[in-house]
Amino acid sequence: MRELTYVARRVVEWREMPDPVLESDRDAIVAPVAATSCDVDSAILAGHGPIPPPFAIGHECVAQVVDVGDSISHVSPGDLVVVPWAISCGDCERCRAGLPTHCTAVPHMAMFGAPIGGSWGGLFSDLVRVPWADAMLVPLPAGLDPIALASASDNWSLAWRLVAPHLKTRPEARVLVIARGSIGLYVCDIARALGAGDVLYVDPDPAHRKIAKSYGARTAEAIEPIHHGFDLAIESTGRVDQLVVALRSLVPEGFCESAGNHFRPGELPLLEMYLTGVTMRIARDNVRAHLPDALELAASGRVDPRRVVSEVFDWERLPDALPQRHLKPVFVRDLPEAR
Amino acid sequence: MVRELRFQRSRRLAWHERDAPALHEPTDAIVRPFVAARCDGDTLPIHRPVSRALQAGMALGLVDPVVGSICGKVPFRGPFAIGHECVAEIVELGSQVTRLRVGQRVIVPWAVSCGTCPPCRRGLTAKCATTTGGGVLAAYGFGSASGPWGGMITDALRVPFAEHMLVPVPSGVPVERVAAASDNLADAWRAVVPPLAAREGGSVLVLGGGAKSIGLYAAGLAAAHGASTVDYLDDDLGRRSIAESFGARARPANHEAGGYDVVVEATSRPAGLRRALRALAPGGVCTAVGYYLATGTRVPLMRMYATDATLRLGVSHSRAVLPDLLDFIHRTSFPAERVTTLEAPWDDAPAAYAARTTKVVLRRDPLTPAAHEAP
Repeated sequence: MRELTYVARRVVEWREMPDPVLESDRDAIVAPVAATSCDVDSAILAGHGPIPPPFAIGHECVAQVVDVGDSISHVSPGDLVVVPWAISCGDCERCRAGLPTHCTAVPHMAMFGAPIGGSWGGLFSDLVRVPWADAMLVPLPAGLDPIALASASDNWSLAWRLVAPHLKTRPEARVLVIARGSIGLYVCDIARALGAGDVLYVDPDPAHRKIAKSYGARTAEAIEPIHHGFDLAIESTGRVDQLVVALRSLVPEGFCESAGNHFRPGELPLLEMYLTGVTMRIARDNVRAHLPDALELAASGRVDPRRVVSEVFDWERLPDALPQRHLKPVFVRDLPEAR
Repeated sequence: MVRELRFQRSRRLAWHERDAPALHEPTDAIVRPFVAARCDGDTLPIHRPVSRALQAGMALGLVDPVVGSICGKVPFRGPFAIGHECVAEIVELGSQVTRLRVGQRVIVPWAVSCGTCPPCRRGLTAKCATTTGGGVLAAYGFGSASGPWGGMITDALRVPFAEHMLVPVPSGVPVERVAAASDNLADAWRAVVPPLAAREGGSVLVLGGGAKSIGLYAAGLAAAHGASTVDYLDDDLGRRSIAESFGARARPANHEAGGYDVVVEATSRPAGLRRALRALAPGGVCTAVGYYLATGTRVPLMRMYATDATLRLGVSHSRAVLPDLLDFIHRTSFPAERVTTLEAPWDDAPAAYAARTTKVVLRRDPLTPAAHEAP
């Protein structure tokens, strides 16, 4: 089988690998059928990633189950499943506490698509071995479009977590979204669907803003802090200056959710935060923990993540099309007929 | 005329005579504080000549200019009436106050709030829209930039929205136990009790020594709320022994520590904040109870991202937590008074309030005997 390998800035190539095999009765072998790039992949492909190449890339896909170990009961060959980006056992204390991204059965940061915490391959590969498949894999609900939800492995589910729990406790919250890629756009969609009072989307890219507008958000290229403007501020830029704008735009006791990827320590306006009263969370997402809830929203038809998909390419176009600058390209093959 | 304790300048406090406050509104009360505690934050201007330094710092951009919105353009410039933690007895009530009675012993929250505006209804009583107007704070004991409310080390204090503001001390609770309930004890409560409720049996680290009493209250409250581990780090032996008496493991400040579900940053130093964030377990929450006056404190953002860290900064909304806090103390007899390291007669306030010690509590006899405590 072939494994798409990141080899240098803006260069990826197929590398031949032995087909993965079931190593345990709790494994599954899956074949990605709709895979897309995470917002962080764009940074990696641009040469800004912290890990030197080569490595297998890709950690967002809907896949078809090809083979399962003897003890697997939740999924069967032929099923379409979401493959969460982080490897987790589902059984350790952390997994049971809703922190599968911090699973103690694997090295810290174990994930698809980057060789940190072991080598688990990438989801732009023809075949992938998924450990603890009963715990990890979540069937895609019938009727949902694998292309639209290829990002449920990470960015789309992350976007759900950044905004949905807050709107539950603060209905009609005013939401500020400062973003650069797909995550912020998904947030706009989900925020509108769940009844946010106002959404302001900030992004210098006019094409991104157009999508945000279609989700009912107000948009701006850039903003100065809007004093006491928002109940919830979501930052997904990887830039400390934008995190600061988000923090300084909160109402008293407001909440700032950051998608992280600030690769250096940053200076924050701590005294102003103290006087305003701010809670800030920065986290890699525990996708597997809330994936079923997020997919339930998708199945309700109240959201439309398909609008964020910028192009649909044939799987064979991965080496040439992936390194180009696309918002959210989805690579497909052997897609089953609509169910 | 009544007497109030005023901060004059660094290391200098004095009694000052002024007119007795009167009821302005039918919802007001006049109370007479008879137990008063020193908030950890009050030691800043008392022990260090910070006024001129802060003023220069703001001018040079080294100190966050927002300091001025609380303390005025010249922060901590005396004289102003100091003190914002007390237990008081009610001496006079406005005509519309029906649920309180004269002689009752009450906690007076440090921040003045109305109880009915949207922030108050959400429990954000230190952000009351009615009392803060356009300013940052409405509070006792911070000088006129935070309103006309005066300090609590006085013979008579006007309390607006009295039915909401004043929280009766439950019968049988010794008043010295709740001397700091107005602020520091409530501040410690919010730093550990809700986070532990969401992380049952979680481990707790307290970096102490800056916000001296809050760190100790937090260690004690954490142990009493089922934390699996409470580690208290501080170089002060006296505070370490108080922490141990609450059931915490006390260690020197440089002790290696990591992997905690709940961290309380009470060093009030940027290095302490960085350390606190690095000591979090995945999914952990750090509450910084102190404040960081300098601009440009660097925060380990990538580390926070890798561990899934939540950082909470802000003043305490003590009025909102007082019912739960007082009920807990009533039920468990939590010995918060162990944190008090100096109990002094009320008349000695000018010297005692400036003492270099962890927690000062001033006392005098109430006018009404204890039989009149709330039922």
